[in-house]
Amino acid sequence: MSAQFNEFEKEIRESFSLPRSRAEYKEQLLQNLPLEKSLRHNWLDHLQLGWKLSMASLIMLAIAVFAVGPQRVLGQIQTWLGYVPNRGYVDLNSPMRVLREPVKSTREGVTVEVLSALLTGNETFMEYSVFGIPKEAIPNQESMEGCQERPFLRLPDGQILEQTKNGYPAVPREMNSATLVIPCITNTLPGKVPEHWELPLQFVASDKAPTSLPVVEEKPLPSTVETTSQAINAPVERGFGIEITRVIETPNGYILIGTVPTQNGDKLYQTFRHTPVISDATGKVIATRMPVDSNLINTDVLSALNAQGLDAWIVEFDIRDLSFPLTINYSLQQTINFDPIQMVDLTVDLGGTPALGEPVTVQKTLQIAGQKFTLLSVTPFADGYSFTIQLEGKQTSVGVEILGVQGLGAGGGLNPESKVQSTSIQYEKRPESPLNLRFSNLKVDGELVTLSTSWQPQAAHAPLPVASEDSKLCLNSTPLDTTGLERLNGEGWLLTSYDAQPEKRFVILSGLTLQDQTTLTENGFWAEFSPDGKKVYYVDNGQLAIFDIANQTTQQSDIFTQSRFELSNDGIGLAFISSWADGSSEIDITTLNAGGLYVVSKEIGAELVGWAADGKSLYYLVPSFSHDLWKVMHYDFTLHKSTEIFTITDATAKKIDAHISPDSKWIAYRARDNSSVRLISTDGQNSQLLAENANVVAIQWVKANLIIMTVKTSQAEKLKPLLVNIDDCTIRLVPESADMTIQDIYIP
Amino acid sequence: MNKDDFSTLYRQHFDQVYRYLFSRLGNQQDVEDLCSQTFIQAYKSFASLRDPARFLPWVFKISRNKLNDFWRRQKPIVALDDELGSGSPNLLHSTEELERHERIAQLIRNLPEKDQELIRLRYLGELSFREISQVMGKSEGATKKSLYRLLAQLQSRME
Repeated sequence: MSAQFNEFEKEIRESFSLPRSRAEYKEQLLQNLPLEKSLRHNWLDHLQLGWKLSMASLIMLAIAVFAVGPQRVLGQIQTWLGYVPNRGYVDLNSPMRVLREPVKSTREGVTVEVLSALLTGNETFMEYSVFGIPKEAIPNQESMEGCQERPFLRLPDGQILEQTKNGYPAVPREMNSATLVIPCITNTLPGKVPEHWELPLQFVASDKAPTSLPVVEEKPLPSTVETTSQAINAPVERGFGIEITRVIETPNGYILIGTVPTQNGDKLYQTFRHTPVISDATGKVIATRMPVDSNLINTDVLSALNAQGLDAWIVEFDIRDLSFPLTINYSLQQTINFDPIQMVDLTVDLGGTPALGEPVTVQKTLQIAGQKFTLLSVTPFADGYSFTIQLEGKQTSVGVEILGVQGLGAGGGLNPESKVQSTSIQYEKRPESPLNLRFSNLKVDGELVTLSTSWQPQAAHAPLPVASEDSKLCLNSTPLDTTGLERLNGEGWLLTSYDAQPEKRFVILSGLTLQDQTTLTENGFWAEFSPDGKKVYYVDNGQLAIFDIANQTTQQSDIFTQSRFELSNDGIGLAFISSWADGSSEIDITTLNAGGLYVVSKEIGAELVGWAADGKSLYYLVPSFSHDLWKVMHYDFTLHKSTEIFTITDATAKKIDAHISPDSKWIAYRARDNSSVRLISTDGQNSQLLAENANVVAIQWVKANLIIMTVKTSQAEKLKPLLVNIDDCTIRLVPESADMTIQDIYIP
Repeated sequence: MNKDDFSTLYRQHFDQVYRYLFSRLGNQQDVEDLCSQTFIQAYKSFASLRDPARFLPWVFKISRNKLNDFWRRQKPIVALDDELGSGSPNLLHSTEELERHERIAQLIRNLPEKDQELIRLRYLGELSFREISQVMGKSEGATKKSLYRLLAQLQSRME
């Protein structure tokens, strides 16, 4: 469609400067969409007979739930279902097998490697990576369709196992080999990369198979409901209470899965949180999270329950430092659409010739079914009117029309804070004053309902994992008690950015307690100190600028970048990412003393990690085609040559935010769960958890043993930057305020 | 309609929804979360959609509802570097072009929200006038008229 736009329209489109979506995310989402009842039949049509038989029991379970209720059916599940994180439910009646060894094949610069496999009684999981896909093999226009042929497994007897939602159907127990056939690399253009890959795989029973977590039956417990108008502290009837249907015991805690109703008779409810609020026996609200693989857990039986006017919920939490029983609350908001027959009319005279765009004050209070609201003003515009209405209490909207005139369309909305509704209506020709207005269709928030239940495990939890002596685990999912923590102060500098408006980002230099602030730019990002702390390097309107702190002078460089950059410890080398209009990017290096431009990598999605301590080499990452694996690359600035060191296999596919420590000993990165932080030595030999499920959204090194980890707190999702000493896990509080993010800290 | 129909429509229209959501949210993580919610909801309710030609306005309505839920639930958060890594042009584009784009962006930001939404749906969502009218609850004629008026207004301010 973009071809139909004229030049100015194309400019409008380009002015948004939007990135393209990640192809692997797009594909993965499609694969992970839940299987719904309405589509299940068609989906089953594609399965092999053996898989259909093994799935039949799951479907029978779903049917049984309708007949006898979830609890009794789930009681049967535990006898044969286990749960493997990131894999899903597994049949415990069959021993698990794994890949004997990784299998790799390279053709014309493209490498496909099967890294692991897990064979269970009901499914086959396969993990493989693809590196080296060139830019020209990836569709860059919507009219271009990449390859969509799915890989499959070919068994020794010739049987084909087609790809399913999470992997492949089960490989029969008696078969210990298969061939992974990849007709083409998903989403690549035909003829641009090698096709028809065949990788022979061998499977073995092994103690390396992952341990499955127990899936436990949950007996129904009394549920109570409390509304804004009345409290009913008695068990409620089944069908309008919160229920826990399944429990998975994890190494550190539990995953609870349950349901809440979305209707009660003719009353409709909305959930405005998607997880319950849980407090322990002392009344303390505990930290919870969505399991990383919730899409795998919350399937089969619960998706069937959705069809019964129930909403499924799922939550994970750790049990360190909490006491049972737990109280589980889930809030629902009733929405009431007042009888549309009830209405009120009003005639408004705007005078002779009202000025366009100038509001005419009306200030008239009206009433529908006892609900009062006020028409504040009417503003004429070229072909219509805009009405400003002050709503009251829990009113959320009211309809307005001019009687006798057909509108072409209307738009508007409600400011939830001021409760002022603005509605604009357009007409073929703007009606003349006086206007005969009609107000109707009033909508009001109804009762707020909180459903509660109590829960404690039926059996004691297995012993919690004990941290090893050299563990660097400094943060976990338990909310940090900040009382008594030292605040960052003393000598040094702080670089912060502040989002004043959606499109404006101030970069501010200050002392460590935010004193003596200097605004460096109103449209910048990514700022860092020179190693000696005398200068600030930052991006100002897409161009690198250098601020001399002592002289208070700014020098604009001729380096254009819209993204992260890294300065070497000797203050000479500057590595940055250049992004291009076609969506591609490259890592470049220039020197601040002699200039020059050296292309380090043109590989798709390559990310900077940082310079080695001696300033003679650079570390960067190259993602696999599906972004779930990252090759750690080392670029020698003397030889101008890159070498692969090792592969990070447990990082997030979203924003890895990898950074090298100033002594180039560790690389810190966000882990696969998007919440933890891991350290890996730069030779790839040692790996440690630094923060576990701590909601870390950003990381930045300050010194060899000091790192800033910015965590998202449970209080309105506020960000809290913490300065953590990785040697002793002491934590200092870094100044914070709304919309402000820490860019860098310099401590002499 | 079955799963294959959904997959086809998903592949055809995913990028339009993604671009629209990115223009509203500005960071990849939230965009992916809402994109997932939108298509999961669409997938769940797909059986209720009888006419595949209405898929695009239908899925945009879902994404706008998800956005409303999102804003109600939480204040948008910009983490370190969250907004970076975009495909913004730099070396390839001249300073004049960048300045002109920035000027257009500024003009769009100053428009009333409903006009910004019209632009987002048309140029990022690539919806037809008929589809926009279905999403916004206006007539096709009024939608067309509003957009042409907006374009003329923007163009005159750029001259």
